[in-house]
Amino acid sequence: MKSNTAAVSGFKLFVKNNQIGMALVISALLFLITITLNPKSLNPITFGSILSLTSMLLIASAGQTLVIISDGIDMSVGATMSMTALLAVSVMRGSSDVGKMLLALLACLAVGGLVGLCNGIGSVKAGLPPMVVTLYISNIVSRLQYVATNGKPNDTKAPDWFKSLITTRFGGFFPAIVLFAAVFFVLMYYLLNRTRYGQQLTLTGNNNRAAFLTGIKTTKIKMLNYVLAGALGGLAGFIGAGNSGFIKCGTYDGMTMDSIVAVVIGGTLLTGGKGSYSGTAAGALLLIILSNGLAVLQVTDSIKNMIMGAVLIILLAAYNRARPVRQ
Amino acid sequence: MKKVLSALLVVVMIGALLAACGGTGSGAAASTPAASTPAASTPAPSEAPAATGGFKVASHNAVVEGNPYRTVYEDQMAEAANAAKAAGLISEYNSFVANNDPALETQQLEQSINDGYDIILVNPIAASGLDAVIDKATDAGITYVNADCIYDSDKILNVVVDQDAYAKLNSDFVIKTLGAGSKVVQFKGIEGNSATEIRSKRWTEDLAAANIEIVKAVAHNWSDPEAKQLMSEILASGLEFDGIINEESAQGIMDAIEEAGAPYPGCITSSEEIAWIRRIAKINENELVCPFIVTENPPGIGATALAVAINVRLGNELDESKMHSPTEIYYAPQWIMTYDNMAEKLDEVKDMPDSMSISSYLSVDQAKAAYFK
Repeated sequence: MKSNTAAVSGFKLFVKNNQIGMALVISALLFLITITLNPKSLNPITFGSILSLTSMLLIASAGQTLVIISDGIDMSVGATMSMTALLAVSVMRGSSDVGKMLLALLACLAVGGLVGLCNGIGSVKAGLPPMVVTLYISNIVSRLQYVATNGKPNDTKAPDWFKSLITTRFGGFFPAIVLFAAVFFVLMYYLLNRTRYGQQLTLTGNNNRAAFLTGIKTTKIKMLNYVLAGALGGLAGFIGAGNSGFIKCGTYDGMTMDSIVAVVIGGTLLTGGKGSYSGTAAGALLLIILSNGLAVLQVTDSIKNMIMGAVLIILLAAYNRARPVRQ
Repeated sequence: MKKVLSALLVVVMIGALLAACGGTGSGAAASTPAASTPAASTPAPSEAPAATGGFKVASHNAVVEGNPYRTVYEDQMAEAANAAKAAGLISEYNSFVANNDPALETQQLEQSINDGYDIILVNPIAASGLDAVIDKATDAGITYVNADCIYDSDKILNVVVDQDAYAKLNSDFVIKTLGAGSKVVQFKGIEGNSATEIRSKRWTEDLAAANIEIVKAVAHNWSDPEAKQLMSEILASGLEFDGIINEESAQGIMDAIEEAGAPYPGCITSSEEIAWIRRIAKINENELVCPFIVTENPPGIGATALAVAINVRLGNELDESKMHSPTEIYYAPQWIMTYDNMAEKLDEVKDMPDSMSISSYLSVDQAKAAYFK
């Protein structure tokens, strides 16, 4: 009896305190349910599809993770990705020249960083609400794509070799984009867990004033964070250019909301101060497996959207309430 | 410092927004004329226009940014307006975009009425909500023509693409290619959108009548990344299907198929983006491996509406026998590409950029011949 009680309380503790673990457990359960109800879905294409979609979302959510940990939010991720994806295909112009690819990479990082700098100036230096500032910056970035191209970009696709680099599936199921996501993961893990910058960022997000009083240059950290997040968005757009067969104005605009959802499902608090990229990875995986499962089970589009909304609200309610111990 | 930065940011934002608005076509010269397939010249009609040297025309569009279709719509409208100006039919042409804001749309329309425009062309945000403005415009003697997205009113003329005809071309192709007993996946555009609903109804009816089962219906919202995700999920589900019936965003669907290494579908239908036309032609370059049909859903419908409005303003009488109803003109798709005419159609679009769409429209004289006595 005692051991049963201990097991139950142990399980409750795990559920309560281990968001990442729970996201992975729920993902595994959903996947099991999916393949049990529809055994046909247990095939290499399923694994490839889940890995590929999760990787793209994980890459797109890197900057968002940093910004939300620092008590901000970035509504310009999608627009930045769209802009830099367009920029990447415009610079590469179908060429097989690696030099042009590197130039496109640098251009995407620079443009993304510039967008991040504008976000930072508005949100941190001017002290305006991050949601409003980044939303307006997003609007401007979106419209600049149309101003620059008149809505009809001359170049709309990445060179075939670059596309293959991103979308090839090794052994018929393992997408190359997973390797890019793995590099993102290692870098982000190191940044957040093994550097002073990562520690200072978490402290700043948790309690800006306390962090400032301990000697952390919070304004500088937050500004740098927005620039870094913008550059990561630019890098995501660069990879996205190869991941999609056709880039037009606004291709990745929808990534903004997906990135926020992936980050918060993974346990990163919207109020800042707590979060991790491994959580974002778990959140992205859960989001994709849930969507995939509902598609596999032949649920209609409307019901699928309703179920996804309900599940996400339950998860957010369970794990994303701010702790009342701050400030 | 904070105040200075806030002010600076506001100035930068306003500047950028103004620059961006300039690019959306608020003025006659805002759009670069598009290369269109049969865009004929606009010779002077038999009757002289207003004594002022031509009509004053305002075009109102719900949205342009984020929508390549509307970009071509704006471009071809400006192109047709320039041709009409050269022919002395139009003295002034201005374009307004409401960015999907109904309040702004109403405000802009009221302003156009007050500014004394002779012709107002509207591609509306929704099929209702503008009745008061329409009353005001018609009371003022303005020729108010609704284009592209239908508006429910018997007081105005609607000039729209015949979505039912568009859909029928596609369903006929699928039935002919796959035959009875086959299974298809249906990709819709935006659920609730009038064009999507009309097409979906036609497809559902025609395919059911031909004993073809729609085994899965999804909506990709005319977005390539969404189409790619949905197609990836469908492939992952192990769902068995023979073909795909689809509107727009075929690029995303094909990305998913090729990335997964899945076989090409028994047929695929789509709209008219140049990049897709080139891609599907390349897939079938050596032999027919993926039967397809590309059907135009012409954004040039705005320019056709302009031609109709000018004819109305010139006093020409509409021929109801050539109309769908006394207040509706339906424009049937003209540009269709299949494997059989692939080479010829590819040649027609060889100078067009990937980001464009195929679109045809009627000149003033062509519109007169098509819809007037």
